[in-house]
Amino acid sequence: MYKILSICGSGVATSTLVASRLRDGLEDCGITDLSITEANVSEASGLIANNPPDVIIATTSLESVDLKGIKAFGAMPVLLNQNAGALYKEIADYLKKK
Amino acid sequence: MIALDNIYLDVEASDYKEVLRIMGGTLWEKGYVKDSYTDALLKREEISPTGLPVTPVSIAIPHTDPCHVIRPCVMILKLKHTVKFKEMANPDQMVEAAWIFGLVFDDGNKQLPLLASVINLAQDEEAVNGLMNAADREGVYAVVKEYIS
Repeated sequence: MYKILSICGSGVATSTLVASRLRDGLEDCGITDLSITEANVSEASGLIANNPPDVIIATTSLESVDLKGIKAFGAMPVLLNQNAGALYKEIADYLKKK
Repeated sequence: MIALDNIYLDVEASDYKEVLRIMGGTLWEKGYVKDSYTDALLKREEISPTGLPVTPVSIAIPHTDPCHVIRPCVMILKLKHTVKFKEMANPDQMVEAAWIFGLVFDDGNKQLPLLASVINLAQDEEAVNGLMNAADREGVYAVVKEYIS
């Protein structure tokens, strides 16, 4: 199962919408077995250390987050529905190669 | 979630902090949020800004952790003059926000369709023209109601 961490400033608004759309988008790319966790930017470093995700997606700057080398994607195309399909495919390809 | 009396037109503010203080203070007076809300809103905007570079006009969607919220709502402010907000996910860029859609959420899952609706509305040129041309809050309410229930 693939684990994805969706990060935003409050962990409640944009990361939730991104998680929901990403789930649908990745399903369309053939990835159905996934678990998406939502988090705010201040709790993200702890979550990454304790339970490293396969991929991170964020609507916020990750400057303050210790990514531990995990690949992070910007979520604005998903949030604004702007060329989101290309991003779903990019994430799906990355996960399949992992 | 959308109420006529949570729509404010011609709001004057010199910077984004003033916008957030007006938003937080008004919500507090109306009993939507706790004492801690405005500080939390300012702090959150500092760490994770909420300006959205959408066309035809940029908006901001300030919000903060649900623990500061008593009753959820959406607060809509039309600014008299645009105010600079840092861009979400790209804080080196600024957007000139013309409208503020304050997302006063207490549960992200329940209010998820609402966020999606606000973003859709802000990207729909016809809707935004309707908002810009609305003469009063009733006019704004009528446009918003078509998108957000």
